Amino acid sequence: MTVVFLGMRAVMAIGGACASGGPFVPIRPCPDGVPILLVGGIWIGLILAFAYTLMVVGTDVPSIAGLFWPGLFLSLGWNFLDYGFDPPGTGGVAWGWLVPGVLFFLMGGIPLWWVMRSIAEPDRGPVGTVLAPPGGAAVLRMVRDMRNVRIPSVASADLVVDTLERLEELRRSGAIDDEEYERVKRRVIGEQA
Amino acid sequence: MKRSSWLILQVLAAAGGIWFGVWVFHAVAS
Repeated sequence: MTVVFLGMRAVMAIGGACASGGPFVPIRPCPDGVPILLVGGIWIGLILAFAYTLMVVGTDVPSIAGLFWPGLFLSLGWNFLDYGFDPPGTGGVAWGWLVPGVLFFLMGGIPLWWVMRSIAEPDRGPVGTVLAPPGGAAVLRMVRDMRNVRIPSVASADLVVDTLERLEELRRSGAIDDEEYERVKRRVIGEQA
Repeated sequence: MKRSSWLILQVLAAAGGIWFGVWVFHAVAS
């Protein structure tokens, strides 16, 4: 997020657009290293945010995942407003940057308000995530359910009952002794648990 | 570990991440 924030400022400082590569000589070449930093920062940021959220959800560790979205949009919105009020070179006000600036502030600020509210009233927030985004409780439940799914090796409870009944018959007929009966019974029940 | 300890740890890690981002940016961009 820091790298994307700084990369965006570097591009805006030279007018807000740049190009590199290709058969043409661009009027405004990109600052060295900034294209790779921006693309890399966005993708690595997405992957790490996803990995972090996946790891922290379903544990009782409080997470700061709810701050990712507000942090991204508020910091980039700040760039739009900063350069919108004081655009490089021309002077005056760049409305084309102020409008996305206000939009980004709303997109980041309203979720931040939600997050802050869930901190103030932790009982209303999802369990285990202090800074959870809106809808976090539903996602938390879904992931926990997915983790708790067990695939039984014996297809159904009926099959277990049938097996136990047949086992009981075998013991009564003397085909297996008590010890064998207990051992197999524990295995049949144990597989289901 | 207490919940507050986890939060402090993560805030420190986030601060470290910002420092690392600034360092990477200044190392790569010119």
